[in-house]
Amino acid sequence: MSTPSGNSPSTRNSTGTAGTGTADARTADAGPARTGGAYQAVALVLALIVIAALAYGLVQTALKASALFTG
Amino acid sequence: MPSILDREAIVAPRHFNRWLIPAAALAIHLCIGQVYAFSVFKIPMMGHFGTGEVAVGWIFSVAIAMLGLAAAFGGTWVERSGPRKSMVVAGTFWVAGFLVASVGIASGQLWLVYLGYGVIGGIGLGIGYISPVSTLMKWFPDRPGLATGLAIMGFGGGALIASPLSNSLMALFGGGTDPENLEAGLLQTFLTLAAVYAVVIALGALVIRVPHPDWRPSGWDPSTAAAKPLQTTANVSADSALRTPQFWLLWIVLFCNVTAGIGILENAAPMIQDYFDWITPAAAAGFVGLLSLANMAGRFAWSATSDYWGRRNNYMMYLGIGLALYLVIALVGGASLVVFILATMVILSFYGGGFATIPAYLKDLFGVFQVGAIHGRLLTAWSAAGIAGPLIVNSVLEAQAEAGLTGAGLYSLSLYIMVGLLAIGFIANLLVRPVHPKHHVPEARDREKEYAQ
Repeated sequence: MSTPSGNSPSTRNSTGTAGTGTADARTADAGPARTGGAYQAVALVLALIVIAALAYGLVQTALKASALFTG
Repeated sequence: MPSILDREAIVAPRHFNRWLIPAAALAIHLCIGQVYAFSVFKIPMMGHFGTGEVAVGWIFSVAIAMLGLAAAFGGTWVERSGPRKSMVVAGTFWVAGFLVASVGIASGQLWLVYLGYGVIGGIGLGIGYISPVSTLMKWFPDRPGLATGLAIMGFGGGALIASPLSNSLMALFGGGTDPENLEAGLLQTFLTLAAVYAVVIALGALVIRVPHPDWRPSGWDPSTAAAKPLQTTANVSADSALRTPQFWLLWIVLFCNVTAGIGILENAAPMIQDYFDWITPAAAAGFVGLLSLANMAGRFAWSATSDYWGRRNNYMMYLGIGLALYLVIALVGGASLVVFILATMVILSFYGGGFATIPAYLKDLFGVFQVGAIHGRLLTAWSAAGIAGPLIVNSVLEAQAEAGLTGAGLYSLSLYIMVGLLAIGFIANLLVRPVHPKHHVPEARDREKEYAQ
């Protein structure tokens, strides 16, 4: 999943809190997580899985609910 | 060097498309939402273990009780560890729960199903429920209601998916749709669901990111949030929140709203058949499906509207209009099927909306600092309502039946009790005021404290 980002600027905390032990500073100290092509692909696949699963559930439930008017 | 599971390892760059994050949050909620579809396993399990409905019903009850406990006691850890680690831990517990339950099914040991699905899986439920919520609110500081609605909608959606999927899997592995076939397909179904959930939750954990400290939504001015009533830019710790009246007022609000919703959900199928004696079992099952859709739609739609109307106004609607609709059902519900269906659908949409709006309400009052932990502790209201709701409705039903009442008359008293509960919740919501500044965590201390824990 880790790939070069390509779209991530420097992520040092511009508020000057880096290194003080605060959460924001610590997250900034660690640098940005990589969000390049592989990340985008995984995110897209996950979005498709989520949408397809929701569509499946909605259609199946709508079919079941239709029995209220037909059954 | 942070571990790949740590919060520090998943900080997004300053320029990042935040719309990639809801799918990650939905992924885990869609998986753990399966718990609401557990009833599809009831009859096959009763046959498999040669036991009654009550013994099998305890599996679900233990899981929901563990959800509340894990969310209450694990909330602070979830806030400290970040969403990826907590999603991985939640997923591990959830999948391990299925695997242990599978051993119980294979060996005919029901106690292993209690331990696996109920206790171990229930811990995964509690941690998984709260793990993505505060992260989504940090990504959508301009639309926290939309954010929490997106995540918690998944919990309702999980049941919509798992119910037909589990039935299809049991029929596939068992070789048919007869009860004995479904029973024969139980083990393989549990193993398949475990594998699917492991993959989907792992993908969610890979995709989840926390915003960079300097990141802001374009065009959003944080100072505008403080200008709205009941919204604060200050922070309150989870421990301090417990000492505020606001926390307990919201506890009452959630408890009353959930108890009232369960009052309908618990007996939806028999209720519509008692109100309208010509409704067939298949049509009653369709009614349950319709309520599930309303529940899920309410989670997203009502929570999203709360960004515009204000959280307190939304709860006034859930509780006030809900109260009126319960009265409508009690007084004239039996006269018109359309009125009955519409009223119950709106009530169930408010039930879902209540779940989805509460994290944003907490963020408004207590800030975003430990909102996940505070949310976790507030979910004990859900556990309490999960016990109180069915207990009230079923006890009243039994008493009314013993008194010789039939049809719609069976439900009148329990409906009036729900009206009373909603009135209490309405008053509690009206009493909510901004948190006193003495509870606020000093700006310089709050972040340090987060990591000192």
